[in-house]
Amino acid sequence: MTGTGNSADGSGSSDRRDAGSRSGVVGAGRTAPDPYRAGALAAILLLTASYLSVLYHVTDVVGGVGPFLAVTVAAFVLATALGRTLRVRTGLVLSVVLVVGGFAAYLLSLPRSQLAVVTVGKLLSDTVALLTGLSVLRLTAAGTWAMTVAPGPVFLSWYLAVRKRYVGSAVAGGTALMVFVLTGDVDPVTTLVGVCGAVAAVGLGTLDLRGGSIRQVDTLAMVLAAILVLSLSVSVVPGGAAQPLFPDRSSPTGQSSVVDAGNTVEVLGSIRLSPQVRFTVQSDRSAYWQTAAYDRYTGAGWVRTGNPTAYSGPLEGPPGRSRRVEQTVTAEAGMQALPAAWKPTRLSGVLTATASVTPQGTLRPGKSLSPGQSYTVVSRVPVDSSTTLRRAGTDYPAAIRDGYLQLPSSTPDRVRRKAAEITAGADTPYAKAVAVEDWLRSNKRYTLTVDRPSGDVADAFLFRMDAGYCVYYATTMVVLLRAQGVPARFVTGYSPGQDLGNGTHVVRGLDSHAWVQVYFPDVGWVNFDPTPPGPRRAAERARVAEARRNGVDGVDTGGSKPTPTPTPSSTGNRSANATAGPNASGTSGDLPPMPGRTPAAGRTPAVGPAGSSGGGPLPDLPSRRTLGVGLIALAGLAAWGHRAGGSRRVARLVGIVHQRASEDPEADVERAFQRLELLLASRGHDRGVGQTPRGYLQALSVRGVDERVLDVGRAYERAHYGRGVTRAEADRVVSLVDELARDALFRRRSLTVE
Amino acid sequence: MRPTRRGLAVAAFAAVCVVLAAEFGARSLNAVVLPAVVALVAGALQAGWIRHPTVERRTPPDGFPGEGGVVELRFETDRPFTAAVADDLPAGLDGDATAETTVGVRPATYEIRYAARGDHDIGPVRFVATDVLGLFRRTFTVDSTDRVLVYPPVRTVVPAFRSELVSLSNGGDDRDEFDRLREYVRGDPLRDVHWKSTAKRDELVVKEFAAQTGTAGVSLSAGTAADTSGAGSAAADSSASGDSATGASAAERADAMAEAAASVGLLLLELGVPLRVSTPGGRIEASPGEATRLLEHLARARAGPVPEEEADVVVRAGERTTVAVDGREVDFEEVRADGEVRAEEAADASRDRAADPPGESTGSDGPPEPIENRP
Repeated sequence: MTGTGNSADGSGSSDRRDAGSRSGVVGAGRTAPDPYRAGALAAILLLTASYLSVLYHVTDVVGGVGPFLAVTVAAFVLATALGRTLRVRTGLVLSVVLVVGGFAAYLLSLPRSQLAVVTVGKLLSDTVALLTGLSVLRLTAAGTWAMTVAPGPVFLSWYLAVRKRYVGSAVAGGTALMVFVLTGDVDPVTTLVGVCGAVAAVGLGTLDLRGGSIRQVDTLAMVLAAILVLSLSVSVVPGGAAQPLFPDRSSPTGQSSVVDAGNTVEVLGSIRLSPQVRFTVQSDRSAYWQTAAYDRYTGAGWVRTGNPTAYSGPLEGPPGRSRRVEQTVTAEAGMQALPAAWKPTRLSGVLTATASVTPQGTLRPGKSLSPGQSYTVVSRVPVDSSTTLRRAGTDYPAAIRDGYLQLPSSTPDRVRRKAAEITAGADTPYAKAVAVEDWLRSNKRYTLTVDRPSGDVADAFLFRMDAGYCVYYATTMVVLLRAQGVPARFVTGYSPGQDLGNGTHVVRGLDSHAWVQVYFPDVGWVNFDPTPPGPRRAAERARVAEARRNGVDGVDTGGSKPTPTPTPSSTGNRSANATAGPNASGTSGDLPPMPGRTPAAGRTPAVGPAGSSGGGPLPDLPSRRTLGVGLIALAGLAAWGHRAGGSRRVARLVGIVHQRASEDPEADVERAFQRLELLLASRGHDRGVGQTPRGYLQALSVRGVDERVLDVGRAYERAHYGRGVTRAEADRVVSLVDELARDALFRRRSLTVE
Repeated sequence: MRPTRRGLAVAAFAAVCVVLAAEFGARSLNAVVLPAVVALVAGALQAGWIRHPTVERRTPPDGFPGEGGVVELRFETDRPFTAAVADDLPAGLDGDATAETTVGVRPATYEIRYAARGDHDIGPVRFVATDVLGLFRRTFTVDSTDRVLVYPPVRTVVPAFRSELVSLSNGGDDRDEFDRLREYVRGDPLRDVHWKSTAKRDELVVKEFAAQTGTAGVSLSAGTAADTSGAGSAAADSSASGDSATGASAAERADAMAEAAASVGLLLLELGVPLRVSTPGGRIEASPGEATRLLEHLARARAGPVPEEEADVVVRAGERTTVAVDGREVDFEEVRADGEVRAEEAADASRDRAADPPGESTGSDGPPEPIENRP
């Protein structure tokens, strides 16, 4: 076979350059393959950038940007250098070596304690968990993982692209991107960019190899435009939030409960909380009922790293002094969390067999609790005085230092400066925590109606927003403390709820809350709540009252409904000493938005417990994106127009209809005659080659033509060959042609007498 | 229109993504599934809109077995598309007549090598056209055929036999025109030895005589021996192209007959003898310089009985192929030189070829030996 370099010759070693040059000799007339090749390579780069952006984000959050960029660039350079010389088979082997070697490097970099328990089965189940939606950020050594996993696909994809194996290159890059789509780490827009890169690479690559035409590029552009516009505006895929398959947890039911201690927290915009009762707690002390703790801050939310382990017997209590608090929790709605006061140590009830413990020390149920199901949990609540906390010092255990001082390296410097400024007078970690808490309470307003900020949430809340809700407060406080070297973490759960006075606490969806835990050596994690309590309680009461008035089901249980009049202080004065934190007083009935959140769509009424998380967190399309869609659609239309020869047609039409007046009457008349000629040509009366204007007009007049046409023709002859024309004459001729054009083009009148 | 393997893979991939989304959460899978669906729909539309192009084929000139050249397919269409193009090559022509190209942008080319004598039809052209992403394909055939003639191979003959033919052309002993002296070659008649010159040298020298001009011409008739069990009639029915399979032995005999007749006939023409040639396929007259006419006729010659038993030269292909000159019969096997192709024709043909379009016969195996002799 000669003619064209093709993709069919399987072994293909050496190779398509030969095929290409031979076809050149044979005279197959390759039409400038360079733009297609350049386009295909650019498309592959786009695809590569899409998945590298994910890895970059991971290293930015976890650390290790420098080494990651270094290995990526090295892989690129290697692929470029070897692309021209290395045979495909060798290249593939090298890629496999890179992938396997990278994975081995990752395993070897794990702490010895973790490495000891690595088995093939565990690796497999971890992989399954990743591919079913476990975020890469939840890997303990996510930074190392990103760095070791990057070179393989980058090398393979770029190597194949250099070798003109565009389809293989797109498949290699697409596979890498697909991994991050499956782990849920890449957002739809980035995914789309990558997918379009892959599509363009395949299309342009084919055109490069087979010598395509500009019309096929138009087709490709139209396909890409359709992909972009439809993908950004239409959703065809079912399924809500990611629900990874964990080895120690059966697949959750499709309908995720609202009270879920999830693995990640995404900071959202406006929310509206459900007033319905979630659970009741029988406890002689009020407390913050904690469901989860998060260690890794991504800039846009929180991630809990590590996998839970099965609950087996009592857990260790906090290192410092603590008080025993026994709680019996009864679910009133389905829920996937085990709320308990920090720190839970002993779980009893039927759930014990399946429950698990997160590396952060919180409890998780094996499967959803159904309404009415209950469990008993014993917690050891730290009770150290503020004096002890002040003296605690900074001798943090290594695990705490490693896990709870992390900040994305892209965190703006002004955040760090602000942290230093706020904690200027504080010299102990405790003093810093109090200072930050006070500053946030007094400098930010509480509201549930916010626009989700772009960029770093803490930065946005500090410098661009003057109001927010608990997630914003807690996130910002943790970031500020970490910036100051104080280990802190983001905690979600429920505020104590409505105390019925007999030790029963009614906890509703709107009691869900986010707060902060700060670590003190020899004391353990201590709660802080930077959210101002007053406005929260007010908002909560108003919401419950509204729901009662509207007769919403499930707002009350047992004796939670006030019989004569609502006691204004019913949620007011509980907790104080029971809530462990030193600043816990008055933080009880918070209006807090965490798991039970519902992205508010305008002013919709409250959503029921089951339906509230139906569609998953689908962020609103920002106007920028809408604009982008519009631009892309325009580009697609332009490509289509170009394809159909529309641009030329439009230009010609404009040329016929419009004439700009000039100083020279002769020139005007000549231009008018040219327009007339174009007009006549568009009606099928072309002037023959070599036919004089006079002959042309005579031929037309023989067929019978509009008298105005002949009039213009005579004026043209006078202007061109004769004595010239006057200004008035020229203007008359121009307006005649205007008239003729309007008649012919818009009124569909024939210029000739047929 | 059908999906390609790639199209099926994309569809399966999208389906798996939908299942994964339903089972484990949507994540960004919409941004994967929707492009796949759009690409598939767009691919189906593109494949559906493909119009059959017109095909114009340029073939290499007629030639001898072992020769060949480049076939070029030019396409005319208003909407270019990528396609794998396959030309239908008959058995007598060797080559990989497939090319992957963009139809409507540039021509497809492939090399062929002539394998067997005959009148060969190339075509029709089969297209497997795909959309720009290669997800859907449409297969169709455009009826466009062109013909290539492959001449019978021509052999040199031993000098003795050549002399016999020379004498035939001179009408017996009429050897008056002395041409030159040359070295003795086995088979030269002893009476041609020029003793005077031989005495001066250490080797035998013979006289050579120029062919006499104005000869009335020689008749050459060729045919095949009638096979037993009626194969003869079957052979007579076989098509002019000579490559149809009605009796392999008949076709082989026709080839042997054509080879012998061409070798003898071409030599006679070179000696300046006008020929009257008759074969079972018909009869022609060829004057010196009209070798192509002879070759074209013999390229199409088919099996059948010798039409003119009383001709000056009778070629008969049976179990053996015999050539009878003036009734004296010899085995063609015995008089032909070992497998050599005549060098003179090669020289002549290369002169003619210079005028042919460029870009031919540049196959990696080196140029085939052209033996054509066109007026």
